[in-house]
Order: sequence, then C-alpha cells, then structure tokens
Amino acid sequence: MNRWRFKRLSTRGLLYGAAILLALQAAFPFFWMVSTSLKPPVEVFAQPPSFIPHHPTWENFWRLFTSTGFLTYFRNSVIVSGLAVLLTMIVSAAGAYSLTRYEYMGREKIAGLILCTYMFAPIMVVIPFFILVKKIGIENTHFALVLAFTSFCLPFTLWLMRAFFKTIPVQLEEAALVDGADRVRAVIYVVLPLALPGIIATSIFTFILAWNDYIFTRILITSDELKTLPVGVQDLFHSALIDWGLIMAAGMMITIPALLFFVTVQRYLIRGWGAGAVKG
Amino acid sequence: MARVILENISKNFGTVQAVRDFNLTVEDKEFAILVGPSGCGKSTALRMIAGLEEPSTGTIYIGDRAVNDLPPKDRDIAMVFQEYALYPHMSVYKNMAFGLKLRKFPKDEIDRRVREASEILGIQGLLDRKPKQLSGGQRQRVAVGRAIVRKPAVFLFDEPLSNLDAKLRVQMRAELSKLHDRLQTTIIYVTHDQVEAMTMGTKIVVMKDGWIQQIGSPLEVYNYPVNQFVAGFIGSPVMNFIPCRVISKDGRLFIDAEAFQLPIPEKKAPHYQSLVGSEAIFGIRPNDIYDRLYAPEHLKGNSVRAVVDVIEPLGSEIHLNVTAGRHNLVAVVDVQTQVRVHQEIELTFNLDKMHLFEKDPPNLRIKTEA
Repeated sequence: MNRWRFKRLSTRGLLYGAAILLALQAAFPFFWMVSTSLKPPVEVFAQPPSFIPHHPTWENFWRLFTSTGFLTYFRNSVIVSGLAVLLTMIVSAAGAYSLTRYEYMGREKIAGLILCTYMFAPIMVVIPFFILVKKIGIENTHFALVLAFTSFCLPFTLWLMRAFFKTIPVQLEEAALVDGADRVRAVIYVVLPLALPGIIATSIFTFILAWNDYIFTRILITSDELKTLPVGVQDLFHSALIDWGLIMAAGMMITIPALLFFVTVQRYLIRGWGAGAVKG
Repeated sequence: MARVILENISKNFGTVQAVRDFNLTVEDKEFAILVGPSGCGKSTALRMIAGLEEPSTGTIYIGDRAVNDLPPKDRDIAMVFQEYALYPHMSVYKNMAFGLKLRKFPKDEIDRRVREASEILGIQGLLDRKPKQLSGGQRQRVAVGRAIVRKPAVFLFDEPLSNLDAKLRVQMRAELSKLHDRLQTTIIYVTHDQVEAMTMGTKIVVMKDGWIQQIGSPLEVYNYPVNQFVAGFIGSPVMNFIPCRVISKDGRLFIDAEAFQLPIPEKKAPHYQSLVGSEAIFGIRPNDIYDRLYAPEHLKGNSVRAVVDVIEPLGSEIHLNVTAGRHNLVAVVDVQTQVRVHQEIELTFNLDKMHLFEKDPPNLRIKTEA
C-alpha cells in the first residue's frame, strides 16, 4: 500500500517538476524582455547582468511612444490585422458553406486542391505575389497586405470552417427555412451562431498570422508610415548602437495585445482544433 | 385551413426515381398518413410539399395556390422533423418564438402564443431550458410546439416518433390525435410504422418504390387491400400468404394448398370463378385463424392440422408460428389454448375474411366486395 502511494507521489512529483522546468524555459525570454524594457540604458549592458532592474524606469516606453513611429506602426497593425480577419472570415465562411451545403461537380477535389495551396511556404509565394500586386498597381498599400494575409490564411481557415459546418445538421437549416427564414437569414440565425467556436478559432489564427507577419510586409510595403509593427520594430535596429531597452519595450507592446486577445478567446481555439477530429 | 393537392408529381434524383406519378388530394382538416417501407419516397413527397425539394414534374397546391415556385417560408406550413431539429443555441422559448419573430409578430402576441402552445403540450416548466437539457419526449413536444405556435394551414410531420421508446411512442400517438382534434388543421404525416398509420390517420396513403399503392381510410386499407404488398404491409402480425390453386369440385370452389384444401364461401365463390384451374395466392390474417376448440361453431368445418414451432404468449392472446404441410403460418389464438412446441394443433380458418391475390406482380387482390 505504502509503496504504491510512494510510487504514485514520486511519479507525480517528477511530472510536475518537468512541467515547471518546461514552463520556466518558455517563460524566461518573456521575463528577460520585461526586465530589459524597464532598465535604463546603462544597466542593459551591465556585467554581471541584473535580472531585476535596480533602477526601474518607464523611460524606454516613453521614448518608444514619442521619438519612434511606434504608434503609427501599431495603428497600421491593428487596421491590417483587423481587416484581414474580417475578409478571411467572410470569404472562408461563404466558401465553407458552399463546400458543405451545395452539390456540384468536383466539390471534394476543389476542397483538396485548396488545402494543397497551403503547403507553399510564404517565402515561395511572396515574390510572385509582389509581381501580381505591382501589375494591378496596389503595391505599397494596406489593401495589398490584407489580400496577402487573406489568401495565405484562406486554405486553412476554409478547411477549419468546413469541418465546423459539417457538424451542423442540414435539418436545422431546413427547420429555419420552414419557420420563415430565407437562406441568408437561416445562415445568420442558425448556422453562424452554431459555428461561432469555429469562427473565433479561425479569426484567432488569422489575427496572429497577420499580427506577426514580417515577410509580406517587408516586401509589399516600402513607405515608413504604412509599416506594421514587426517590420517597424525591426527597423529600430538600424542605429549604430542597438538600443535594447527600446526594442524590448516595443516587444512588450507587441506581445501584450496578441496575448490578451489569445487569452480571452483561447478556450474557443481549443474547441476549434478539436472540431475536425471529433464530430459533435 | 387548407386542402393540399399533389398533381402528377414525380421526383428524380439523377437516375433514381424517388416519387412517380403521385396524385393525392388531402382534404381540409384531414389527418393523412404517407406510409411505406424506407426508400419508398414518402419523405421526398413530404419535403416537396414543404418546399425543401423541387418536384421534377407536376404541380402542388396548398389551399387554392400553386406553390411550386414559393419558398418554404411562404407556403404557410410547419414541419416537425425526425431528429426534432431544435436550434441547440436557443432556449425552448426562443425555439418556439423563432418563426413568429421572423414574421415580425408583436412581442406580446409571441409571448401569448408560446405560452398557450406550451400549456397545450405540458412544457410550461421547460421554457428556459436548452434543447440538450431535455429528454427525447420533451424535445418532441418542443418540436411540435414550434410548429403549432405559428398556426399554419398545414402541418407536416416527418417520422416524428421514430426516435422515441415504445411506451412514449404510444403516448405521443394519442396526444397527436388529440392535438389534431383540437387544432382542426390539415396534417400530413410520414411514417414507416403501420400501427401509427392505422391509429392516427383518417386517410392512409400506402407507398412502395415511389408509387402510390393505395389510398383509403384505415379500415378500407386493412379490409380491402388493393394488392399483396398492401395486405402484407398493413396489419400486425403480418397476413399469411400461401401459394395455392383454385379448384372446382362437385360444383363448389376450393383452395388447394397441397397439404390442405379449404372450401371457398358461397358468397365469394362467384368472384373467384375465373381463377378455377389457375394458381393464386391465398391470404388470411393471423387474427382470422382460431384454435379449433375456441372457434365459433359455424366455422369449425374449415380446419387444418398444423405443427407448432414457436409459442409467443402475449398475455391477452397467444401468437403461434406453425407449419402446415410446407407452409409457415402465424395464428393469433385464444389465451386458453393449451399447446406445446412440436405438438399438433387443429386450426380453424374464418374464410369469410380470406383474400385471393393474383400470382403475378403486381399481385392484385381479386375483389369480392360490391
């Protein structure tokens, strides 16, 4: 009896120990970022390094907001990510609805092909995309960025939404039609509310991808006032002396909104990931 | 209040003909039941009335309007689905109010109607619950409630009881009959269960392979089935069918089933005259076969010896599976019948209730009624 108990407790202890170790390993860079962003410039390069700032200061943040284009970049990021989420949602919901509710030739093939396009890495797509955008004459605009993010996210979001729509019985829509709805209202009142976890999951996915994107913005955007955060912050490195305090403060300011967004909606994301696997 | 007419309706799915040459008139306030084995096209017919499928040919009228080109919402119908199809994200109240809300009814009118319907169905206490918190029977009631709040001209039911357990099904059957009585609305009801058809319907439409086999009142269909399929489908236990030959002996007609011969009643004989010398199918319902000991005196001449294979005592009656010659028969006999498996028993046939069917498809019944 006692031996069993000991064994169980020690196994549990080891598991928790390993989990804590992993968590620390993942959290340490964040901790370092927070710590550095609060240090005055002299302390950043101090040897030995201080984990907790001796003289914590908001100076880095103040400089970030006043002497760099950070606020512009931030606004650009919010606009571009928001629009990308919106456009992706509309297109993938419509596409997924069509793929699950209408019968037409090659429906499954189309779905398969769409997924194939997801296998191209962004770096492969970005140059052809740039040429395309230039030909249309929308290079160096937010619109081009939104289009790029949307087309890059679409294969995945379409499949995720398709999995969600498949779990919603057609009978519910038929019931709504008989109850007095037309197709659009049946979708709005019945299908979309039931697909909400999927919609949220896909929007998180799109938002994070758009928020963090570097490659597309680097190539498609040239004007400083149109840059988004990742590219804008990267450009802070250009000065001769790298201002780590400033960059870490920027890092904080980029991470916090994404983190907040993620934390508030993460339970939907987990449901979203499970949706394709287990039919509800 | 409305009459529903289906005129020359057919429906093809690719090369499959689900419904063929369908002509039916359901009068106002009638409780019509489409019944048949699965895949006979009954649900497709119902869905065409609802507007969820488009007929390949023909015209559907609800009231005085041809509704072929109207979407479901404009047909003034309500439908109850087999899987209930309650909106899982809405409370019972909202489920029932949904149709009225879409039609922009004033709030107090919606409230009045939802409460009235929930009272009729005994679900007043469930209005705040979500569908997943309800039992099967309760869900069924909510689905019916969602239909009746709208006060439509026609109710459509698509196998609404098939997901309920046997006891609840019997109870809901009675409740739906009562509801029909109370609402006085046209109902078209689809089921594969002939008991539901017999007990609830005022008009039964028996279907097979997309064709209507027979339309009639429950008793018409039971007593005067148009062919062997209808005879076998309606009634439980199923009618016995025995291949036989009609023969004439000393001026009387007999059924010759090799193992036994039975005299055809004088009343029926003239109708069967044309079959003399040819093969036919003899049909008799299990309820028209008696243990000779308990048979009415005047029938005792028509008896046949058989060996008992299976005994199913149901309490109020006993079902016997027996073998007579090489024919298997089912008989519903008196509870007092004393018999054991493998024992011989003498069975008496009430031949006034017998039928003869043509040997070849579509196995039409030879009419003996006026």
